[in-house]
Amino acid sequence: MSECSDIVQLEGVTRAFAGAKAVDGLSLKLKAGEVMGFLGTNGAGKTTTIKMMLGLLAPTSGSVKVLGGDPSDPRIRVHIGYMPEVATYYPYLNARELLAFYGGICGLDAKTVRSRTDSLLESVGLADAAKRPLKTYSKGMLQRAGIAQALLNDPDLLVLDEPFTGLDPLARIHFRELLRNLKERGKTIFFSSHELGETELLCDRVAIMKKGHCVYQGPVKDIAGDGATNLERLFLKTLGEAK
Amino acid sequence: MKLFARQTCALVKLSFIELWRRNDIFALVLLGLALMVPLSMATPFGADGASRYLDEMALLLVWGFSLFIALGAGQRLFPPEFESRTIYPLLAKPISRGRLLVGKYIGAVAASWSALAFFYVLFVASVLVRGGGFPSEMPQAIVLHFAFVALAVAVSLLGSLIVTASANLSLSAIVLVGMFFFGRRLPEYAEGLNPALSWVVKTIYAIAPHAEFFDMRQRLVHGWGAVDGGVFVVVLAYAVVYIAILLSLASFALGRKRL
Amino acid sequence: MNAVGRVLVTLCGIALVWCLVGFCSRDVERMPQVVKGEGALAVAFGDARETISQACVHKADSYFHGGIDMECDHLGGHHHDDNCKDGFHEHDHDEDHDHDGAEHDFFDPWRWINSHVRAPDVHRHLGGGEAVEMMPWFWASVKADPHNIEAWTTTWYIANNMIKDKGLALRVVAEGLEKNPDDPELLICRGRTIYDNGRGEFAAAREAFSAAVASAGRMLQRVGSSDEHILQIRDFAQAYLDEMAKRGARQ
Repeated sequence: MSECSDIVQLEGVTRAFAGAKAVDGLSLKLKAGEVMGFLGTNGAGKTTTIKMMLGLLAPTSGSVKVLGGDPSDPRIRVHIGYMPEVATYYPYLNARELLAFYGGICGLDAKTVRSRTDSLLESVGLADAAKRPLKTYSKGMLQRAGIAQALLNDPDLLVLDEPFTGLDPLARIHFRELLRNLKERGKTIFFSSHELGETELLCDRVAIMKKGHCVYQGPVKDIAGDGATNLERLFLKTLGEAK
Repeated sequence: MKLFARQTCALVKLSFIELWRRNDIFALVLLGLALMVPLSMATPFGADGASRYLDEMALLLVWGFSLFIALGAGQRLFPPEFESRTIYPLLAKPISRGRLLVGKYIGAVAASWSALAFFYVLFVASVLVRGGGFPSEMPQAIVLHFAFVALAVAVSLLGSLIVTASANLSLSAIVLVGMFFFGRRLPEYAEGLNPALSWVVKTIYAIAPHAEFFDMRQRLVHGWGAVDGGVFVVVLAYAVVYIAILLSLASFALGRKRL
Repeated sequence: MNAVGRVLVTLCGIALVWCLVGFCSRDVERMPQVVKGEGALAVAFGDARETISQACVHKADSYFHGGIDMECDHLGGHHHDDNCKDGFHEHDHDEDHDHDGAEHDFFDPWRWINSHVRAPDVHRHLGGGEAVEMMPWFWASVKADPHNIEAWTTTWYIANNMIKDKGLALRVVAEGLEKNPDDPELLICRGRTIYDNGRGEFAAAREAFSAAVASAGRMLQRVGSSDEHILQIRDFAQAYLDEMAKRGARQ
């Protein structure tokens, strides 16, 4: 892991598609062990930002540094775990084979993969369904399989795109606990979400995006008041939607 | 290198599992049996002893099935990854696009080869059951067939990154089947055409993948003997060079694909 | 698409390729405009049946040449190991099939590879019992188009003269006559097999040749007396009758 305390460092990042700026001049820092919620309406530029953080997209201008290096370098990505918004994964594999596959892609040896697979499947609640083909999984189960694959390489930085989508209330509680445990273990977590309540309960800091611009960045504790509704109020106010 | 080996192993295993669990192979084998069993029981005009037509039909089926498998395997390498969005977690892992392309290609080829080997085992078994011998040309014919399958996967892989799935499968099949049956006759067709069309046909002849180079069916069926060693190596070299060009183009196409 | 769908698509593909190969290898303009025969094949393939039938004959011909397609494989510099005296096919066997150099003033590497991979070093013919390898293709040919008389007579020729199985030859002719009653060419074939059998079954042979002459006569009345092919058939059958009459007189 990098010695730099800033795990993620975005400086004036702009990404344009056919002239239209999806992200415009975004600067963002994420310190080690921090949990950051990344909020915004649909099309605000959250997923584009995440893709740039993972090296999947190159910024049109500005610089992106993750774990002290360029995320397009595979060596940096060894320490990143990523879960996409909605992925259906490989329908002919079961959860165990899926993790074995991603373990191989991460370069893990078979023994490590086996031991991590058991504990991960247990922690995401898929141990009983581990041998069922993924094509028989519900959306929520696929989401949990996605979380397991993101955690497989024991990442220092966990990037989650809409992780609560498709999870039932019980699974949400389990997932929240899982993220808290990871936070306690010093992992850095960055996730985008539309779930303001979950975000407020989990995050140290939030960033709010609007039409490619970051319109708010700050610690959750600075949002005075009484819980989730405050973040909602802040969110609406920041986006100029408050009545 | 160790990382690349592990990544390649994972991708090969993924292709194997997908191919064998799809049941395509078993459906094809059933189809082959449905065609071959009645044929093998036929005694035209009550004359016994004809076997070459069975060998020929069986080999034609093996070729057809292997092409079907190879094109499907090549087509399924990337488009489903984009559709199901699994390309994102995959590329977020420590693997570059180039390595992913090569690893996936190796996986698809290995899986297709396993299916082809299975078909050849069935073919050889059917020959032995009918009292025939193992032709001396067989190893060479199988190696060339394997090279063809690798080429077909590469063609399909490149097409899958450029056009839609149905267009890719149709175009790849037309090109490969067309060249397989008519490739060597293209210069003759070109002779009778007007200069512009003739140039087009000659260009196709020059650059299209010559699937017919790998076809040793007539040698097997009619016992012509093995191909000269030098020619055999040249054909394999042709396959290697052609595949390298296709993969380079595929790498370029994948690199330009917006994620 | 599920596995069953794929199987169906594959079946259609095989049928399409098969038709394409047959279609491309024959003369399209010779196709009859009237659907011959009955049953499912006629419904499915219509006029294409004649093309398929001819393609099967073509395939049998390539078998006779040891797998070389005589219309296509002009590639190799192969030489003939030619003991062909049976008259089964009508190709010019003495020409050199190597077109290289004559048509191309540049080195064509693809042609060079094809000439080595797709052409044998030695051109051999099927002979004796091996000729049975052609039978399935002729069988397929007459199944596709039961009115392909050339296919019937060639099949008879192979059975009678190459495999030398008179029983097989008679079965072929009997089946041919069942589909084409009173065809003079098939009647001649039957007569020749019986006559050449040497068992003194002259009455049966004479009956066949007489029927051939009568049938050819009826055909001449129908299509016009100047049809050279039918005239030849009639004269051929008549020549056999004359020869038998002479032998009968001598005996």
